[in-house]
Amino acid sequence: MTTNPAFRLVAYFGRTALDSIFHLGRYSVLSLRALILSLIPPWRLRTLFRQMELVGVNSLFVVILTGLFTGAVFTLQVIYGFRRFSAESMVGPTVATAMTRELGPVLTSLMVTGRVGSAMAAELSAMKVTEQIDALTVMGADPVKYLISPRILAATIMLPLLTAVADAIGVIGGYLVAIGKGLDPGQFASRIQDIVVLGDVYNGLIKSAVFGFILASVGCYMGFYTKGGAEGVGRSTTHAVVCSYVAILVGDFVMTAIMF
Amino acid sequence: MAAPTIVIKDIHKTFGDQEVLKGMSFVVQPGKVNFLIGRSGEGKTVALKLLTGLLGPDAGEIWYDDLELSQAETKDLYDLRLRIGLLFQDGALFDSLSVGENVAFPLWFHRKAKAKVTRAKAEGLLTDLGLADAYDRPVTSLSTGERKRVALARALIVEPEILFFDEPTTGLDPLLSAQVDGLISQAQERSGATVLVISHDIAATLTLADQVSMLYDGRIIASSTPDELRANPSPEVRKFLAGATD
Repeated sequence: MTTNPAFRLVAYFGRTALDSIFHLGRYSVLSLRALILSLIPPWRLRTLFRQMELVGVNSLFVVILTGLFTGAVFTLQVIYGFRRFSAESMVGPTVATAMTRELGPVLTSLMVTGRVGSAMAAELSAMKVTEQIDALTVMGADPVKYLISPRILAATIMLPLLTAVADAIGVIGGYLVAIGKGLDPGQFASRIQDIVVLGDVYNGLIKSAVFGFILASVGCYMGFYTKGGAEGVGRSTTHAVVCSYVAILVGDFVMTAIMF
Repeated sequence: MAAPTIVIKDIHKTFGDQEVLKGMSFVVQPGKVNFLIGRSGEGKTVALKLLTGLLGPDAGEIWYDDLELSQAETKDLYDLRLRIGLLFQDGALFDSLSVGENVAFPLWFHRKAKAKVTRAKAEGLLTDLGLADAYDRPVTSLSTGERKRVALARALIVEPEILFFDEPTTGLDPLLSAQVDGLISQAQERSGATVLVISHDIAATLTLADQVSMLYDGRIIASSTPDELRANPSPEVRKFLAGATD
């Protein structure tokens, strides 16, 4: 190996780039395979519903809390700013637009990633290092179809539903804060009807479905290709959360630029 | 379908810069108890993973009668795996399922039988293995010996023609080891399956095996009956039989 620092730097970047391309390719193949396999019978609805419960129902409380306080704090900030221009009547639409387009989908996805994406990575990693995935393969069960497809499908279905709840709760939180700060309740609600369009809600829900796909597929990918025992399980879980966060934020920017 | 003859020809396998298998060749006799022995770290488990298609060889061939594993279509590999039962070293039980669900899993997954029949079969096997009331217990509550027995029941429930055991008695006390050895023997006699046991347990090898192959430095250095192995003059074999298994 060369001792020239410049060459070593080039080698480092080259290796990192090749590694990234390798992982991106393998991730794409795994995700696409999981998606295709989820369309091919036999379907195991019990497994899918179990995952939907884990992703959706069990995340409901944390999503409600996130939505409520996000709407509330955002409203506080907006009231503070809009009062300077006597534009309090625009507080309701601003909060609703922000919640449905951006805050609802993104914050819900980030919360669910912390709760569910990490759990998926940890569970699959543990299965990998204890040879449970090998056992499935030897029994003639395709681990991608049995383990990954239902997780990705469940997250893609449940994230828009959770986001819809977060949107609604966020607006309610904002409404309560607005009333507490002396704003006219009727104006808050009616201006939302006037200004917020259904497309804002739909596009936010489409974004959240994509985020659901990202958090589940990244979590499963990290877990499925774990190496190195208990240490590997911890590493995969951390990578799953960090990579999902980054992918969701980058994906959000790209989709927002295209949609709105 | 009759138990197949498994022929392993000149298998090479390298991990990083370490060549683990350097031309391993041997024949797994059909309908017999075959042992693959060798010191720890010789690549016995790698050999088993190659035999089940979990890993692919760098070179060489593995034949199940007239099916060569690396050339097999996905469908052929799937059909072959339905004929295989494998007991992993640590059991590889599914932690999210109960004991009974673990045992019944292969039948449930392939929808081979109705739920009631599957349950009855799983309960029957668990009873045979001394775990009569364990059906609804979580697998996390099992001891090492119980885990092995549950894993054995899971391997046997599909009535496989080929049974692989990866270090079945490692970590067990002598009493339990003898019990597991008895179960291997019984399973083979009952089903007439081809059995391959990966082991470094000399006593079990010499008692149970019909055919023994010894792996040393990535190659098979002896393949014979236990009696012939006892008489083998090779220093490596003598050392292993004297108890140098690590």
